[in-house]
Amino acid sequence: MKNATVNDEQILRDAVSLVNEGMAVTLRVKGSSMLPFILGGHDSVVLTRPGDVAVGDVVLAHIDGQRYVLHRVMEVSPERVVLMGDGNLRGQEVCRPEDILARADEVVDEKGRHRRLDTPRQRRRARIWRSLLPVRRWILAVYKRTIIRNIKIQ
Amino acid sequence: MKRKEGFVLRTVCGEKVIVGEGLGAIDFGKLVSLNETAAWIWEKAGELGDFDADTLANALCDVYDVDPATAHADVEKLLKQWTELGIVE
Repeated sequence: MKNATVNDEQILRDAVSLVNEGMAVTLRVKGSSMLPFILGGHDSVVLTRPGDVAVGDVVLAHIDGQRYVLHRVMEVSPERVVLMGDGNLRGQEVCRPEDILARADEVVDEKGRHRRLDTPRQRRRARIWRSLLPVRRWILAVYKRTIIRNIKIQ
Repeated sequence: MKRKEGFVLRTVCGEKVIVGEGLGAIDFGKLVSLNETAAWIWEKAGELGDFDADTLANALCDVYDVDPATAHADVEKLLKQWTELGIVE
């Protein structure tokens, strides 16, 4: 979900231009930076126009005009938006509100099952997850060894 | 035979693809990629409205330097794929 290759960049550019036309674009995501909410390599996200973003939203942003990230909004002000990957232990991205290109309110798994990211329950889970940041490293380690391994074996 | 409504030809990532836009949604994991000839056949099918393998193969022979038997076989194969994908009916 970060450091897109040239080809990935082209895909994302085209996806964003379709989103700007008002389409909902479903796109497979990579990486582990949004664990445990989005499983890169397995899940797809449904991208739509960003509208007004709020803390807790999952958004696609173009950072410093160089790389794309699909991360969660941590802070919003009229001048800047701070993002962080749910699956990251440290590191936040700062961008301008206009660098937010799309929002991802829905995830589709490999079996085609949809799940929303923007329900009150999911937002509550994300808030709890954020508060667990000091121990996130250990939870993620267990998660990667158990749940993800099971998904890959299936 | 007809093209199913809501499917259009677009260029995505430099490739010609057929996408379903009926619901205002595109799934990048389910794009149907076409080569130049297949894209031409898709557009021709749209112009004709109602078509079959013969009409498309004849049209193809008028424009491309291809012998009728090959054109017919290729068009039939393509229409079979499109029928399986549910983009023609």
